[in-house]
Amino acid sequence: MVHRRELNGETLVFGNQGALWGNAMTWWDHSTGSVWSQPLGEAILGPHKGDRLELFLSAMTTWGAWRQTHPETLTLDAPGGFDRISMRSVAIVVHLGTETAAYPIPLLEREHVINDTVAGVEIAVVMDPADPSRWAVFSRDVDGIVVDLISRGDVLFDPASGTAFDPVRGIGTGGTLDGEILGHLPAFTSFPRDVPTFWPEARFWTGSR
Amino acid sequence: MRNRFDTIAAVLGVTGIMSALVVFGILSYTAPDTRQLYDPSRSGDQMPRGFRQLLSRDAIRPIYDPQFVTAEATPWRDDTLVIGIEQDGDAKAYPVSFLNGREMVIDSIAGIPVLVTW
Repeated sequence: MVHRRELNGETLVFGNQGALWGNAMTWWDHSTGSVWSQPLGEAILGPHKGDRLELFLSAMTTWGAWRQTHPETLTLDAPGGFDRISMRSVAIVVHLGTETAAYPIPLLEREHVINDTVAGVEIAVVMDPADPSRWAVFSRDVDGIVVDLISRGDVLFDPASGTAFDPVRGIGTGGTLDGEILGHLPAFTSFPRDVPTFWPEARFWTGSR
Repeated sequence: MRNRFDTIAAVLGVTGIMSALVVFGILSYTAPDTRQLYDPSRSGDQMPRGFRQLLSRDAIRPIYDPQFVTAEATPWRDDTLVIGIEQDGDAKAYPVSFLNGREMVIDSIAGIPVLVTW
């Protein structure tokens, strides 16, 4: 997860609290010592209790895919020897307003595109069937026009407008929405069993109706 | 008496040098004064259900001063899982399995302070 570490204009520095809450990590901030829950991005103890950090837009993907779309990227200088972590064990979580929805990767592998509404926001959760680490969450609202996306070959296609959107950047080509761009929405991955701990109201996607 | 003045003078001298170093930016990192900070174990607060303090603060030390290299100088396999962020044309990638061990990176991108965690 990536959070914007700013609160009312103040930049916060965080450390590792060394405690688990709801089986997830907690942080402490250097200015007050308050204890923060990682999945919530919210202070649960101390002077900042109830304060919340904004989620920063991030992608979880493979190095190959990231480098292709961001050739100028910098990378954390980290020692090698990495373990492999499987995307198939996680769910994509979208938290908007007071609603939370979780989309397990195995279902996305089958459906490729899920059109849904979360807290009144029309969204599309998309995944490259050939590579589960390439996923994104888009807004389906294009200047007031709501698109209904289907997976067609390598693109996301909106039959009503005849426009094809690329699944990485959301740029539309052809049709009446040519040149329009689907906006990215912040989302993150979590192990499905941890989702109800932090978002008891979370709705799990169980397949298209 | 003389000894005590010597000690005071020495302490003042060292303090002065330290202050000068800080002022001139030579010693830029100032550790937080942990005595002034909220500490859950000494707060007397009721801990939330399921809260388990397992290690001391920063026993797993976050990366406070991350260093970066270019894509060309990055030796990772193509299927290495990364967390990627971008802002105003800048982009950064962090390998998930490394974050799995160190858990936290205190960073910024295009002037925006961010916290990357796994």
